[in-house]
Amino acid sequence: MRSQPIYTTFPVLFVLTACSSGSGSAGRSNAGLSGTWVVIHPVTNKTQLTINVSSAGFSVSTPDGERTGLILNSNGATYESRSARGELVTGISARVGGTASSYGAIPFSLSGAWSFVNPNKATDTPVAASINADAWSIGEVGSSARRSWSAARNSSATSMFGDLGGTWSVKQNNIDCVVTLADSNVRIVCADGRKSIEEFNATFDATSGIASGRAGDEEFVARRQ
Amino acid sequence: MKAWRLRIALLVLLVAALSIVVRLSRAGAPIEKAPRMLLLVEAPQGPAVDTTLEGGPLAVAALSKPQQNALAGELLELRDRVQIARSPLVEDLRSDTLEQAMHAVVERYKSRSTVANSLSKREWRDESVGVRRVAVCPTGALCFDPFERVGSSDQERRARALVWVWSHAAILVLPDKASLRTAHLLLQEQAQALPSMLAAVYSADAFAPVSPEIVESARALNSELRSLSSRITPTPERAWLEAIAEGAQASTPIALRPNELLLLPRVSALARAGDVQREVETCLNEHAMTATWGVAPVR
Repeated sequence: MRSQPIYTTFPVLFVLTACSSGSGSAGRSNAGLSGTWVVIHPVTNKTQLTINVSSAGFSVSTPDGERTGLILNSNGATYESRSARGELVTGISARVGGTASSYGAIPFSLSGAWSFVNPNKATDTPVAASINADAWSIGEVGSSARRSWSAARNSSATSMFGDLGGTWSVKQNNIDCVVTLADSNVRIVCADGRKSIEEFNATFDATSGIASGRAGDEEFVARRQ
Repeated sequence: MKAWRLRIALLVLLVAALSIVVRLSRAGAPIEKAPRMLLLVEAPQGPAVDTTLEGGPLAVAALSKPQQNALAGELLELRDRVQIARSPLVEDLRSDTLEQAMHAVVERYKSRSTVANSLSKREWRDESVGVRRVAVCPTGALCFDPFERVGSSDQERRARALVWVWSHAAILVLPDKASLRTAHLLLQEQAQALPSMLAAVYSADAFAPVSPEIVESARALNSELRSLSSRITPTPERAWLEAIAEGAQASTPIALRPNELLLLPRVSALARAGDVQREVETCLNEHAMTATWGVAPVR
């Protein structure tokens, strides 16, 4: 089985917020993201990505069968990642404390201190994660040290994402990203050293249930079904 | 005899009076407005017809004359590079590869070609719903005009999402033909810059055949590319270049009045209808132009 760190949830969460964020008036911004969102190809109309969001968590799946999801429960959460070839990585985590914060349009909160374990790899050291409104860190483990993430909020802003609103510095080893969550917009700019390697922006219109934006050179549109 | 004449006269008077009453009652009734476009919602039936190639001429029709000339120049430059690539005696010393240069040209016009490819369709389908253009709505069927306000049914909402290119289209009305020409050129130039949320702007007479200069350049490039087919991977983006080389005429996707402009936002701006409207109004205001929205981006 392909080894996959269970904490890949962290970047997925940022993509999730990005896929469903947006501009527009602040008055519209709290309609919530619950529901099934599909990213469609603008010309062929084929589904490229399906994102399910509910108060119990979220999942992201591709048409070829890849699926990543996090389902919250009273003790913590379970994580599941299935590759297109059917390989499955699961993880269970315990929430060990922390203060509650509001994520605005995101119908669940991950705030707190977490300890992730992969039940299929009992020898692995549990991954520690700490998530609150001003800073996120997801620790490193074994050979997967390069996948550790940390994020700190530098300034706050009014956002559809509630307490998460503002400008964040996100770091994954030598990759630095600036994530801005303001009004109904998400903007992510990543750089490897001095070179800009990725830009992402998205806008969410809660009234019509549309998210649109640009990921690198590609324009995209997502709709709530 | 007199009685008959009287009866006939009374009958004529009665008919005249009735016709006046009918006319008066019609005058008070709401005037039925013809839909700009009628789309029929139905269950998806088989794969949709692939019209990818048909968007090329429409993408070119969205360019102003100077932009079309620039495109013709870019295509000829690419043709020269292909000729150099074929020659065993000359080496291309430019820093980018031929494929990168082609990609850069295609990228510059990609937003327009995406919109144009969708505009050229007459039917749209996904897994759950099918939509096609019809002249008359069959009895009992669900039809809608994408330029009118959104209906309440889930099926219509899904259908509108599928025909995003028309659901998000806007129509700007200019006071006269001269100001339409000026506004058209301004907005075409505006759409060329990346921060712009506009992808394409059309007037009624924009749907002319692609200019001979562009067709010639595209043909020349395509002919050279064919000779290099083993060395250059064909990309889907090249499809519109090939369509241009065919010299096809952009078919008019919608009837526009002589003082109307059809405005289409970029895919990335579909959730920003308010910002699209502001961008257009700011652009016109900066040039002291007045216009009204026939169909505004925000509905």
